[in-house]
Amino acid sequence: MATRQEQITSALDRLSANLGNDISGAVAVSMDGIVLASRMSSEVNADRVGAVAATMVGVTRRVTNELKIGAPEEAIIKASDGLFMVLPAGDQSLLAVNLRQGANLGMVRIEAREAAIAIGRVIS
Amino acid sequence: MATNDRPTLGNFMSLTCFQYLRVGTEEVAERAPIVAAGRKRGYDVIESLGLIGSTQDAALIRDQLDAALGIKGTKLCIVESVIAKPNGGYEVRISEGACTAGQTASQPHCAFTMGVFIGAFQAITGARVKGYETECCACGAAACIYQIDPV
Repeated sequence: MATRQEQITSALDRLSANLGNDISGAVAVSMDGIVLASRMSSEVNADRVGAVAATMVGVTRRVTNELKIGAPEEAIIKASDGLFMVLPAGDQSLLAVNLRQGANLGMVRIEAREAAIAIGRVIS
Repeated sequence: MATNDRPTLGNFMSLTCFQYLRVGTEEVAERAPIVAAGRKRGYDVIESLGLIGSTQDAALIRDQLDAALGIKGTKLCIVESVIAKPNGGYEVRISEGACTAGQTASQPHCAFTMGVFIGAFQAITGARVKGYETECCACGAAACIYQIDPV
């Protein structure tokens, strides 16, 4: 039987395969910012991205709580040369996805949510 | 450029200010940035001790971490024990931790201190590790106990 890390890595691989050129990397992270599995490129410091992604989810949860608008489902940063998307994966982990400029966000959202659900099931 | 070496006040400041920084940051952004800061500190401690990638026994690691972080070091906490576990992880028991000083909580409270040990053991083992707290002084326990396990 596959280990937890193998199952999480498999979910990241499926996400990468389904999004093709839209995606340049993905990482599964604990809510404390510890990288559980990474498919980020070697140019990216996955540990640092993990800490930043967990902080993004933390800030987002504080914002939605203050505004009383429910639980956050995703946070997206759109930059001049790409996008960065973070979404909770269950209540103990999160999924961060690095996207290329012009990525099909509708498709990305569907695939990323499926991957996040799969990762959340492994972690819970 | 000259640096501020605090010739009058020295290296230490009150836990009151530390708690405001830590709790205030958690109120805005939850635990992750505090854990990240702790991990960086823990990694750098091990690097400064020349223990990166070392395979020393748990008792020796405890002695060296306590020298760096305890009463003769930065006074973050007293490292009571470090026990190697069969899964390649470690159980760490500390007391008088800075994170729990004067604090009461319903949930474990040691985001920074536990982060230090996550970073330290990641540096020592060279493997990615995660941590969780099984007992916490802020919740009424006699000591704070961290489980540091391979991811």
